[in-house]
Amino acid sequence: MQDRPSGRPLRASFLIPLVAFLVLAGFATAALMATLRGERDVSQLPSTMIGKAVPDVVLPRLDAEAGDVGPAQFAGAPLLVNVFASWCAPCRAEAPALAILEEDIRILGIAYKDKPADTRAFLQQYGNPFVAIGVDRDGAGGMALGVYGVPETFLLDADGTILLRHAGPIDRRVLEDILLPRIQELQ
Amino acid sequence: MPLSIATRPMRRWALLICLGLAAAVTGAATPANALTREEMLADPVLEQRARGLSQGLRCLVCQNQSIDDSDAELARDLRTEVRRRLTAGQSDADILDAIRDTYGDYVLLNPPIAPSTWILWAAPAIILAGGALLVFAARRRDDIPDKDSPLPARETPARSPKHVSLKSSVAGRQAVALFSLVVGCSLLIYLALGRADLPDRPLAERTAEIAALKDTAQQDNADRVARFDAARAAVEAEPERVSNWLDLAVAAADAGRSETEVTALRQAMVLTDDDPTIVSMLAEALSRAADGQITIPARALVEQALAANPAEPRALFLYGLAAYQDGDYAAAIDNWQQLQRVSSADAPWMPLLADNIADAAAAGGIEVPVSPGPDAADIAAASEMSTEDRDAMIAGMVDGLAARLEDNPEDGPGWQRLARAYDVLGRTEAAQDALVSAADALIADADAQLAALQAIVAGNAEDRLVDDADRLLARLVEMAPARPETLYLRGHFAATNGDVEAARAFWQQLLDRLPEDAPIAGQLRAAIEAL
Repeated sequence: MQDRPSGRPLRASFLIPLVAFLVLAGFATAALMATLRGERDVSQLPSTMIGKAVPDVVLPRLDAEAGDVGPAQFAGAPLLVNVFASWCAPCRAEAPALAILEEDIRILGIAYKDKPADTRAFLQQYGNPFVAIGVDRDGAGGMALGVYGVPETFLLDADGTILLRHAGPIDRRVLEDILLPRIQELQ
Repeated sequence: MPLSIATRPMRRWALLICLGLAAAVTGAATPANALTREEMLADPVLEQRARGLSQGLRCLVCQNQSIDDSDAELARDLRTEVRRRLTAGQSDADILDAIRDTYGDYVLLNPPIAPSTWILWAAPAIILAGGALLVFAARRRDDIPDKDSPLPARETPARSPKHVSLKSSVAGRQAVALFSLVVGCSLLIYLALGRADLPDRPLAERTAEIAALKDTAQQDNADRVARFDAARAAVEAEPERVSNWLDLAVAAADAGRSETEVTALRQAMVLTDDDPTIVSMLAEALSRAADGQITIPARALVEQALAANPAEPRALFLYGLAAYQDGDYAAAIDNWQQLQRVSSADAPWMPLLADNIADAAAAGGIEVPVSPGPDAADIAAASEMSTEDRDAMIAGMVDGLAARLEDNPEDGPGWQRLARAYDVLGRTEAAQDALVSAADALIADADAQLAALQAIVAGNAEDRLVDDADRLLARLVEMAPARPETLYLRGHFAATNGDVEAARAFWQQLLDRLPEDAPIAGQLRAAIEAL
């Protein structure tokens, strides 16, 4: 006799947590699989800058006599803005990627919190893919761009709107799957 | 029935406790902060506002700390930015908006209430309410059979309704107790261990054992500081002694004072006129201060050291490391193998070096390239292989080196390694040829000439390499005319050419310079006799 009154509701009260658990587990598995497949990168923070106009950053050029430089000066054609530093190891790793990108798009370098002498030595060693280099000695330019670590790379369209932002070195996957297709789209 | 009623207030009480505990989980964060004195504003009111703002902003590098709490450079920049805007007279809301504009909602430690975060904010309430509903529903069901379905007596004739009521209310009570237990335990654990506003717990507070460890560490630290002070006093007393500066550098490194270490090494470098060993030590100190990265200035020093002494072990190691950090794994392996060759087999860094080479090979997806000459480790490995494998391995190494040297015949030490390798293989003529090539590459090195000539003599190759021997001997005579070896060889080659008089003259000259009881004096006399 006890089967009827207490048996059935018991099953329902089992089911609710079970369903809730399965829903949560489903989300977690989807996120985990996306991470494993490389579609979701937990180290990439969401950026609010995408779709906005690039901030009006103006910095002294590395070549001091040539005056100031900023992304605004390159309006009219797409531009890649690369924030780098000689003290940053991943920046060395992305040097080959920048050399490839240099063929397709102009790259503005921002030397973030770096001594100009060290920046020059770095360029000597790893090549200079930049059309111009702004010296961001105190990091104010990087802060305006929302940079939280070097290297970071921003893709701007001809109007100076930020289309894409990549934090961390440009590796082969980022280069071939993300940056080059977007750049070709622009041209 | 009476039992069931009696338990009701108890259940409510348990639920209220849970809800009350949940509400109690609030509190202002008061953790140790990373703020430094220079950053603080003079105006205490503004500074107070700056602290408040900083505690609500996330450090994007170390993601679960506020910028008030974090030592990261970006956190400091953001703190400075907050204070700059405050000084400029902006309101708290303006400042938060401005920072949120560049860094996004994510920079706020408290997520704003927006459509995308409704679920987030509502989740705790929904879960708690859901749990409460379940419990009440379970309790209701317990009561239903008591009131509305009197038990058919025929099924459980032995039990009275009271018994059943007792039983089902026990089930309900168990559900409530379990629910309360889970929620209560979670809350207790959270309050005891997980709260965001818990103060830091220094190691010493945890156990006496750790406190003891800390005492030892402090003692060690005091010793280190004492050594450091002693070294500094020595430097002040005798600043012209290089060893004092080197001692200071070691003591400073030990005491974690990298700036003093660098200064001391620079001083030692100046005093020794850029001794390559000290130049590489400086490069190492600079790299250590940069978390192991070979920075641009460190790299310049490494190159300077290698220019002065291409076999400087520390510089070779760092140069390999620089290449490794550049992703040029082949060059890294090359440099480290060169270090392996110039090091003795029992050098303390050999195991580390082998690991590093394996790392670089794995990272670069390259098979460890053929070592340009068999070093001690290779030979040790080879001695454990079957004869066939060993021959194949050595032949492979030797062919690789020989091919490389054909392209780059200026590499004198390379030729000498090749000669040793040929010697191991028993290819005597090839070894002699390699030594002659080494002598031609190292044209100003008397020892290289001598080594080749001795190999020619020992292998009876005077006829085969007659022109080479003449050329090498002429160089040797020019560079080291008075060396006993030179005299001996001049006599030997004169004898081979049939010039007995000259041979006798040279050997006699040599004999005159040898002590009477020298073991080879007798042999030499016999040779003169035999002429």
